[in-house]
Amino acid sequence: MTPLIWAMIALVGLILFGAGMWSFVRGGFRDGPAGAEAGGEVPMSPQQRRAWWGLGIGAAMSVAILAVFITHGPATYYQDLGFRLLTYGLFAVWLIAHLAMRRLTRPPAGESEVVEDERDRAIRSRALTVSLIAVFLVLAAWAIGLTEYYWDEKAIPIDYPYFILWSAIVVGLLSREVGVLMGYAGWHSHGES
Amino acid sequence: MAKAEIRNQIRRLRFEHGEMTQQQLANRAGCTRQTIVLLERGRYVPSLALAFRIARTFGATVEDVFEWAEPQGER
Repeated sequence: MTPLIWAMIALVGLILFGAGMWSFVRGGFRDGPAGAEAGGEVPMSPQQRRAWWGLGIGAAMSVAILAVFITHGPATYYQDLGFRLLTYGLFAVWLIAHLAMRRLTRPPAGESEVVEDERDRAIRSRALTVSLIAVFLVLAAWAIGLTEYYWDEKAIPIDYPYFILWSAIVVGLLSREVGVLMGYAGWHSHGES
Repeated sequence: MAKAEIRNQIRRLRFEHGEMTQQQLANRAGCTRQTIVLLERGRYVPSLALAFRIARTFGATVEDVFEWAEPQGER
C-alpha cells in the first residue's frame, strides 16, 4: 500500500513534468506575438521561465520524497536499504529532470536573442541570498526543535543528521527558484542597486 | 527623502528609428526584451552602462534618452 502511494505521487509529478515539457518545446523558446508592444503582458525572461520550471519540478519531487518518508516512517531509514536507495534515486531523478529542463529551455544555436542581462544577474544574486536565509532558518528550526525535544535524554538520535541534510538541500533548491520569481515580481527595479 | 524618478524616451525613439521593435533594441543594446518593456513602462531604472548602450543604439546621448525628474520638495 505505502509504496503504491509514493509511486503514484511520483508518477503524477513525472507525467505533469513530461506534459509541460512537451508543450513548452512545441511552443518554442520565443514568446508569441509581441503582446508587450501593445501594452499587454510583460514577456517572461528565459531565467524566469526556468525558475517556474525549476519550482514545478522541485515541488513535485519534494512531495514524492516527503511521501516516501511519511509512508516508510523516518525511524526505518537506517534499517531499510530499499528506503535509502529510493531516497537517493528520487534525488537523482530530480537532478536529471532539472538538467534536462535547462537543456530544453536553452535558446536555439545561433540565436541572436540576449538570454540574460544585468537585471537577470542581479535577481539571481539576490535569489542566492534568499536561499541562504531559508537554509539558515531550516537549520535553526532543526537545532532548536531537536534540542528542546531531546533535552532530557541529553543525546540526539543518529538518524537526524541525514534528514537535516536532505531538508537543507530541498529548501535551498526550492527557495532559490522562489527568490528568482520574487525578483521578477517587481522586487528588483534598479540596475545600480 | 522622496524617491527620484528617471523618465525615458525609449518608446518614442524606437518609432523614430524605423519602428524598431523591442526585441531589435534589446539585441542591439545587449539586454532582454523584458528589460526594454519594463524600461518603457518606467518600472526599471537601468545601470549607467546599459543607459549608455541604449543611447548609442539610437545615436543619441544619455540625456537625450533619459531624463532626471527631480522629486518634489527636494532642492
